[in-house]
Amino acid sequence: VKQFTKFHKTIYSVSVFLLCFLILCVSGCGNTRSSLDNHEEATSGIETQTGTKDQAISKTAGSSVEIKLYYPDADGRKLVAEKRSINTDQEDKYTASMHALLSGTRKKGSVNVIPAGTNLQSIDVSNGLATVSFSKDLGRKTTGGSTSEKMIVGSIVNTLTEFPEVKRVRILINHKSIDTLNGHMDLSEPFSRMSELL
Amino acid sequence: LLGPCYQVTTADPERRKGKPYRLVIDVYPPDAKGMQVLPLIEGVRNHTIVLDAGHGGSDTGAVGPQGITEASVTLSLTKKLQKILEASGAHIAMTRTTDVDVYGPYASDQQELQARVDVGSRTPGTEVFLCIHCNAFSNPNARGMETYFYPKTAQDERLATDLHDALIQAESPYGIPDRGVKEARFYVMRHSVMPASLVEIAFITNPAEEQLLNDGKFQEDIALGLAKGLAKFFSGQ
Repeated sequence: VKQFTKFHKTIYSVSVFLLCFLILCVSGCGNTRSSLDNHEEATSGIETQTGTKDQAISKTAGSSVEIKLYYPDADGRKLVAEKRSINTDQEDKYTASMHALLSGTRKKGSVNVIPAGTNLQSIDVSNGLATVSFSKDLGRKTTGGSTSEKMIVGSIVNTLTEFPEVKRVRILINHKSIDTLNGHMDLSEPFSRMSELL
Repeated sequence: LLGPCYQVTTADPERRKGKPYRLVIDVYPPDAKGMQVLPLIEGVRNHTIVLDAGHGGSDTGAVGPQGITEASVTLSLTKKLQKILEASGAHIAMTRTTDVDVYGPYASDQQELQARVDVGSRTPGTEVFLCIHCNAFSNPNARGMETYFYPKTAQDERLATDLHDALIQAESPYGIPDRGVKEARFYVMRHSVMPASLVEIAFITNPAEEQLLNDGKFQEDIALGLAKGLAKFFSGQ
């Protein structure tokens, strides 16, 4: 009986070890796309430094980058720039800038317009086009209205086009193309910088 | 400014008197009691306009702090505008006349918005597509009215400007601030073939403006203002 249990124990520990190894592999793979399921995963720091695709990572590791975030003024007439330092140790600068934007304004006189609880799902930049996907909270209807919609879209588009290599921005919900957020704006095509809101 | 007032009704047959089913048209003098006197606007006669009351049905649109919905305000105001324009001799097509989705309940946004655009393209001779909305913002202090266009024809901006000038006249007595004429890539304005404009009457998320939007007299004044704006647009063609 004793031998039997010893044998079982060995099998048990070996399988636990294999399982851990497998989990590590899977999470590592997931992160190479800088695709994140939610905020927590993005900040929990399980990312392994496999992401050489996003240029900024290795170059700026350990340092912080100064960026501009855009939030509407209290009256919803204009977007106001807000300087923020982002840490690019754990995530690329695009992901970090979107997380910073979602975390809300710290500037007096600016207000938040992106619905609370909205999560960043993924962001990918290639050939000047940033494709960014959010959870469906971004289009929550109760806060509707064209000014809200315009400011939500504008704050995302103008924050991302602050990076000189980003010329256009496409907004997705649940990784799918959308026609509109709240029934006013046509979101089926990418947006260039919305300078009319500045 | 007072136009002729009439009422069209049907009457059941009266067999004993030998009268069949009848269509009855009552014409009242302008000061007749009990009749709603509609203001008559010159310059819209024989023009064809599509009126689009924003949202509706499964989509309430924005909701104010007292629970007033954008869909109910836009419908009520648009029906008032329809009456004024029809009494003034214009041909009106409505994207909706009750609290419904234009395409159908829980359709995709694209189906719903395209269904509204289609009312314009399927109504022969439509010259103007006018969307009526209430604005909303995360901060309840935001106030004012604004008018939108998408520059797809040479006339879109002029339509928005004429409507906006008339709205300033109608809304300034109520102290509603002017936020200007703006360009935006809105689905319905972009996809309709004829000149189109979207007016944001006031902010339903602002408590004071929410109360005004729900007020019948305010709605009538705005409807009259919009009718004047349309007349101005047609006079410039």
